[in-house]
Amino acid sequence: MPKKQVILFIAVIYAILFSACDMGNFESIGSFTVKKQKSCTVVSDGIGRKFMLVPRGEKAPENTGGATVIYTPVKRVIAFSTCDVSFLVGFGILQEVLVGVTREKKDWTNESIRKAMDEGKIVFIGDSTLINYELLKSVKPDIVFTWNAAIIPLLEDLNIPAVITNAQTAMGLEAQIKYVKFVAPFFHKEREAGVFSNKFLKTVEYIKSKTSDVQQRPSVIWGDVYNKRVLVEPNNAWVAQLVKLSGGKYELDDVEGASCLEITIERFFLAGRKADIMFTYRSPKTGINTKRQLAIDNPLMASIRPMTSGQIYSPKEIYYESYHRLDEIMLEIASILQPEVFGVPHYEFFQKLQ
Amino acid sequence: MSMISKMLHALGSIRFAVYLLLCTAVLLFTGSVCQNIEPGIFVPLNSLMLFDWLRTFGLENPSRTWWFFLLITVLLLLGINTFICTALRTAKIIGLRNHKSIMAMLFTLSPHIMHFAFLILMTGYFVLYTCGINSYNNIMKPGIQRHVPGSDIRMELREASFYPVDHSVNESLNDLHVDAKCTVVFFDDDKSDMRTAGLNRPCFYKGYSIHVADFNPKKAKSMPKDVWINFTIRKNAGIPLFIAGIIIFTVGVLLYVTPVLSKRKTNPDH
Amino acid sequence: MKGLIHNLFLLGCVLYMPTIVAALAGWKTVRNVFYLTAAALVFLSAVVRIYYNWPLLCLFQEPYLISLFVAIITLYLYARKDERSGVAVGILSVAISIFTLLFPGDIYTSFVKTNSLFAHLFSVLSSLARAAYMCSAALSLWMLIAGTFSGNEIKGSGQVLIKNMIIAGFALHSVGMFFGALWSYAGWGIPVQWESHLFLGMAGVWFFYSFYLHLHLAGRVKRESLSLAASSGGILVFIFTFLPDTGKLRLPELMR
Repeated sequence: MPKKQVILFIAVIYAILFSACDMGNFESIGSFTVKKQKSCTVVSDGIGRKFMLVPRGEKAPENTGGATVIYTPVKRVIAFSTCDVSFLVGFGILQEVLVGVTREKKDWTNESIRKAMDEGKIVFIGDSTLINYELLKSVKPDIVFTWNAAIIPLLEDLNIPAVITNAQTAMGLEAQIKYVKFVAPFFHKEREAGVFSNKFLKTVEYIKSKTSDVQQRPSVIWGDVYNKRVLVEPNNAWVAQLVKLSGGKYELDDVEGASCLEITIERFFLAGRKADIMFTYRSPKTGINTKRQLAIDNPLMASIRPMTSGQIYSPKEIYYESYHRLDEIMLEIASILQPEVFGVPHYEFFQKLQ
Repeated sequence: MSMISKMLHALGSIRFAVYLLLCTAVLLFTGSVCQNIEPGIFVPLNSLMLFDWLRTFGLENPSRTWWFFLLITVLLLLGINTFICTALRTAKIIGLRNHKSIMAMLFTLSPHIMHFAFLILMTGYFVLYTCGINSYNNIMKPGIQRHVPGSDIRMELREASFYPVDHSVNESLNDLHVDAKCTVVFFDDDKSDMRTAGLNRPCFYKGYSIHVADFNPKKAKSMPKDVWINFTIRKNAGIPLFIAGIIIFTVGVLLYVTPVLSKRKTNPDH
Repeated sequence: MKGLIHNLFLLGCVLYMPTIVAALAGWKTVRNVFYLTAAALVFLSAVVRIYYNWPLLCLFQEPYLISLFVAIITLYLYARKDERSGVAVGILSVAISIFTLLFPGDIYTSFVKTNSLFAHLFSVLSSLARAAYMCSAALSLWMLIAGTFSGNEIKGSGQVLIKNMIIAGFALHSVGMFFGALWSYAGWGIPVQWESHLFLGMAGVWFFYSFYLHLHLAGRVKRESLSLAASSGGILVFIFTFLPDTGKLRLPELMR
């Protein structure tokens, strides 16, 4: 077949393909997406549900493509996840927009949240597994940020949009850094989000530059054992990627999947025998502050190397409320792994079990 | 030979087919490598339509998705090639039918049955990923009604039952709900109709297929105990095409394999 | 019981060692007894594994099934009195089994959506297909090496066996992938799952063997070229559809 005809044929195919493409300003953040259009922003949450963010005062287009319309900036939000609450703190709009949470006042370390709860500005609407829907309805939220997809039908009955803020696969480092850009359009804080993500990216570059020549790389695992079930952070999770960047070796580097992924006990113990450092999920709130207490609570962990001769760290409550300080969290993890390079850790976000 | 005839001859040539098949394999292996490096780019294909994915994730990550664009072109050419080649050869074989027994004819036609089935399969995939109603995350609790997308039909989850396993040797499976069965009621005008759906057992109603994507509670002793089922609702002409393609291809495979493996050679093409 | 699954497989692999020694020493009966025992242990390991996880599917069990099926194909070739082919495929079965033993990928707990007959059929048939492909590659490689060293032309009868194995593998692969698609459709509403790159690898292998099966129609192709293509196919099957199901280097518990 003459070459010219072949090339013309292929060119026609691509012309058809690309004519269907409207480049727009699209950004994927792990499973989340943000697409800026002329008069609105279309985002998709952790399970792919679309939302069209339309500035207040403007009219939503007739064809929303199945997206739920939300008028922005959002003025009243309920947030299940401390991560989302921390970004509201970072944006400086916590007091103005947050109206409901699923943790009691005693569980928060942030003084402004505790004060607002005292004043009744932020309401505890019940534990995330036992929501008081009457109370939820009474605070009249514009949206609910939640990780629990099961409440969607009940919120739909109340005409309250629910945005799912977790995903089926663990967020990588880049996605975790940029996640703030998913939250920002709801509150017209895109510029602030850009500042945050640039700061986080610069920290990653800094950490990478300092650890490129490191020879001694401690082995690390991140997970825990609960009633013979092992839950770990997979290799594609941001913490595992950060460990590798910070001069560590992540022992579960063949494990891929969602955050808090269940693996076999055998695989965990294989990693546990080699690991120098372990990060658990349990905070001091669980009452576990020493290795001995951890071993008593979970005898299966008594023989792993971080327990016998290595180090075990657990996240403090402030860790979960400080995703707007992700750069500082990353530096603390780096200093735990490489104290000679980054200095002695301040232990603001993690505690070392004695 | 006229221009059209030359073009048909070239597009339908076996040599071209062989090159296209090798090209397709190479692109798929390349895609496997790209997906292994960054799986997150491709996971959205589970819920997005093809062109939506191409214009968003596809164009955002050209270094990881360039092969996909090429693959579409190659598959299109392969489809055209297969159609022309198979149509011409099938016509020729049917022309010779007076000289052959029925079994011999079927064996001779079997590769072309597979080729036609391949075309139907590819068409089915294309239709699946470009049109139809695809609705995810339809989380329903018993007693709650919702509209079936793209219609005036309402559906309600009536009953849901869960089946734990009592495993004699594997403790980790004990109490785990390995199956879920539910009754779904469809309200269409004044009529109502009941269907049963289960895990890996969708129910069908007026062209819609209702799949159980997830459910709660997951264990017999689960907390929280609230009952919900997450349905995926689809209505897509690609599915019947796809199923037809599978059946026809399997028939073609069986017709081809049986005589070959029992050493009967009745196909002059081979 | 979980330990039993791995120990049975380990014992099977251990018994491959005296099989090799007996084969090199020319003690055919001893070789056959050890090989048969090893294959039986690998079979038992697979049965216990399936029983342990039933009704769910053990994730990443395919390398173990492939090891078993290659051993079964070896026994089948030997039963057909095709000694040379049996030896070629036997070497493959030992290599695959030891690789699977040292790089186990079954570290995940299963999930409830694998409770499907389609899932089990997909796993078994696609494993059998991959075993057939790898056996055809082993035979092709053997013929290429033997042909190179002996200076003899590759025999036509050998090519027929290789082609039949590829045809059988292709048929099983197609049907296996269809069962996989049906499982995916029944469970998720769509016939393809994009979580794992294994799907693209399997599709690539399918098109590669389609290419192989059409090769003879493209003109005069030398037997050496066909053997090379078949050998390459085995390597591609190993890289793109076997390796993704394996894991990190891990010595079995008893050997640590």
